[in-house]
Amino acid sequence: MVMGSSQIWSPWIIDDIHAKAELGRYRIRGFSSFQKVTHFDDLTFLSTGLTRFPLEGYKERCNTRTVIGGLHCENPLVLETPVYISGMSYGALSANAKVALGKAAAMVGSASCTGDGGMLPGERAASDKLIYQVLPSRYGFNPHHLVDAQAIEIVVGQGAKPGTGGMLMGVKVQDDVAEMRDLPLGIDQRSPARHPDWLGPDDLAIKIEQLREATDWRLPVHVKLGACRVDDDVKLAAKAGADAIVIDSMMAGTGASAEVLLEHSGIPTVPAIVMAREALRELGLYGKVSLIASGGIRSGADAAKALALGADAVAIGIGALVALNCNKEIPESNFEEEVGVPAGYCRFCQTGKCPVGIATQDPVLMSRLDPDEGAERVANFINSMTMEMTLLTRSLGKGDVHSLEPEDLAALTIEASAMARVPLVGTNKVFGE
Amino acid sequence: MCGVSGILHKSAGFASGLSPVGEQLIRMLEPMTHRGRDSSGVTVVGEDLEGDLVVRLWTGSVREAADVLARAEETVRRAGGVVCSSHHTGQFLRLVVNFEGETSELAAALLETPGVALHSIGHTSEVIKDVGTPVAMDQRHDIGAIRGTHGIGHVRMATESRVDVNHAHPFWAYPFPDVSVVHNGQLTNYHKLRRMYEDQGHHFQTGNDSELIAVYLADKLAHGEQLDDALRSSLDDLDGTFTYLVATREGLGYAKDEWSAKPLVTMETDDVIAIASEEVALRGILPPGMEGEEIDRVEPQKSEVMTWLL
Amino acid sequence: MQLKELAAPGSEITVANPNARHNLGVGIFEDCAIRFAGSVGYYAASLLDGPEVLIEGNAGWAVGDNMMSGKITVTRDAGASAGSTMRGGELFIGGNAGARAGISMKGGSLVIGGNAGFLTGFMMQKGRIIICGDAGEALGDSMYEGAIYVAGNIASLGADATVEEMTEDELIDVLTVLEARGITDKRSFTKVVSAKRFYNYDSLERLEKSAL
Repeated sequence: MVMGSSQIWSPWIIDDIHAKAELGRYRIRGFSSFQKVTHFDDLTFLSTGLTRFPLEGYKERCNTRTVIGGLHCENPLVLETPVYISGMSYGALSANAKVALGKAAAMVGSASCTGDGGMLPGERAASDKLIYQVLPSRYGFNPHHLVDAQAIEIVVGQGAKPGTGGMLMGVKVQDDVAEMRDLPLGIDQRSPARHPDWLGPDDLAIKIEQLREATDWRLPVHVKLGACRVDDDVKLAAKAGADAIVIDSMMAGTGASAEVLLEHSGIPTVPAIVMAREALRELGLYGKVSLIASGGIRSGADAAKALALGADAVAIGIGALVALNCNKEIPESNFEEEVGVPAGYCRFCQTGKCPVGIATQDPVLMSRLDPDEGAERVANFINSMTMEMTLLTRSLGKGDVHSLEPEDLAALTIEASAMARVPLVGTNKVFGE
Repeated sequence: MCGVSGILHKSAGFASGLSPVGEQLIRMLEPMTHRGRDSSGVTVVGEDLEGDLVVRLWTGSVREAADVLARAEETVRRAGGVVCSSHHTGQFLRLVVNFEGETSELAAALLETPGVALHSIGHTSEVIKDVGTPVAMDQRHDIGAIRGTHGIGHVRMATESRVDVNHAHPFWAYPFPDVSVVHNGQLTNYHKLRRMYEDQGHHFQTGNDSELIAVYLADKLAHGEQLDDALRSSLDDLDGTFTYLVATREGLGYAKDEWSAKPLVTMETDDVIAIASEEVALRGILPPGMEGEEIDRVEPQKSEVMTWLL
Repeated sequence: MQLKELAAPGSEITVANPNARHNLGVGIFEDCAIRFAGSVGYYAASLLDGPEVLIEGNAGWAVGDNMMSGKITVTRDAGASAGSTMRGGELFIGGNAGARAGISMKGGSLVIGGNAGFLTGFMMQKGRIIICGDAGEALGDSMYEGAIYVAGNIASLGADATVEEMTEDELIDVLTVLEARGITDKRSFTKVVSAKRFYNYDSLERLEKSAL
């Protein structure tokens, strides 16, 4: 007779211990945190009634153009939508996936980003605006690619694994991925946690100057932070001379990370944006240094709420991959047979067995992703997000998504009120203040 | 994170006269301003004073500065001291006193004086620190005019604690006269050690992790340890990253962590020892005509400690 | 930036009184010659592809950072992270190198006339490091491939680094490189390579086993 089940020793906790008892090491997986934490769903917009003049939701002007950077550089990054595609490496993703993402971004007038493995020529060719990452590993780093980019992103940390380096399992370190990274074939790659040539924000200031010199002070320099000690980190990145700060939360995705970091480090997106905004305000740099939020952005509503809280733009990772077909059963795939779980439950990016050809280096699997069709789906998704954003924005009587403000929001839970620093619905009270 | 600098005149001494240590520290810090613009500070040691001790205080209100100074003078007198001279520049208070008792008693009494933050007490040295760049600090405090035998300096890019005058470096090793530190790095067992030292009765005036190093050294020195040994044991006891310099009445020292994470270069000539985060700072004190000359500089590695005594 | 404008194929540029300033000679892709008459600061001669650079003095951190090709000579000492992530070319340090020389190096040659500091060759991927003096602690820690040759003493080997026998051809190669730099008094070397024990996790989850 079953008497109920333990909430503490749940079936997946028991399974986790069994797995570690076999492995003798921490577990590694892809996708994102499984934790239930306060998120954008816990906030709601206060659209117009009688006090405001709503704009026609489907046709009246609503600006989405977004300018990132410009404080210290000549050519800021100008996007037609505040949604762009975040850094995911060639290696973690297939060549077809990288090309599709670059092309999708170009189709919607936005940008994509290289990731920890260098710039893939096909990705460069397909992209209009490409952000070049400077990571601790410097895999494939090439100054010619640097000058050929539209923006530079120095990666200090990643929300999925802040304070550590990336990972790429040996099954994906094959052929030209290994060659581009100058790594032995088939090794389990563990990227360094620290940059090789600077070790603190004081040295970072000099590193940023080096990258500016190399690019003739044209390109914006973004600094990407895993959201942890947000207040101090944002201030230091700004003081070191960043044009833009990317704050990547604990909900952010990854192709491979130690599960213990995915679940047990970092803070959620909502408080991360608010803390970053306040840190920039304290320095008098809010509105001058751009703020980009990433981690768990799944829709236009999420993006609009991020902007209302203080972000200038959002970056999407998993969302774009899902649009590419991640976790979707397609005629060529058989999820249960290939990864052991039904479509919708896959988080096995690290195995390289992606049934839809995205997170793989297997040519047969990769052929399941047509880059042109994939690009169209991702472009459609970003366009949908942009339309959702403008619809909400117009309903608030605003003609520009960048006019969204915290006062447009109310919180559905006490926790969300405290973290977003907006009143709880039905009250005038901001909890925690 | 930050830039640090230090200088010691080997042949210095009261017989051969004092050197322009204040001016030299500023000349070393100025080209390192990119390492931090939040605040700056120096300790100049070896000053020729008209009394036993020089006391440096700061108060939060410029309007009340004169009153606070009067209260501080009264505190000194009640503790049994004689005020030789006193003045305030804005919120910065300086007193020279004759005092024969325990410095710790004077320090404790001063700390209890309302409105006072205690920056240093020294027989021959004082800590001067302010927000902003070294050049701005020099303009406000005329550091360039201060002569001595040796000293340390700092430019700060604040990491995990606030930006204000009291959180600027150097940190005085309360209540040890003439001991102060400047630090580049971030201690990662600060809160734990601080609680331990507070439980033992040590006093912290700020939330800056670097202050812990000053308290740590004060504790070791109070237990009769030599400076060199105290620096060496700090390599094991402090977690995180650090390159720090310490100035005492007798000389200078540095300690560098096991990760070799924070830069440091040193230069020794017939006359001076100079240490700094970057060579550009060492070059700031080359005598006229030497600017283009090459210098022999040493880059300390990991887990290294060095002291130079007058 | 001015330097970059002056750099043209075949041009010769002299920078007088560089005064240990940072970011001198960055991002130059022309086959030109640049001489710094004095010490330089951080990131000197970095992100280069092609030039021949002479630094008559000391260099700060990360001299020759991510060089693709070219030749850099530092006559005196170099700070930490000399030749970080370099992918080609030759970087010669006449004096001592600080900590982490050749960190994450991906190709080319790093030649150190004096001693090399702590963590030299950390996470090195390819290329070679030749050290004429002594090597500091944790030499070649977590290196993947490539080789480090040390004429003097090694304070300690890093994790997963090991000593390997040197072939005669290798010795000739190393001696040739040194001879071109006027160093002829070093005749024997200890060769350090990766023990390759960290290449793969030795345990895999069920699903990963089937993937491999």
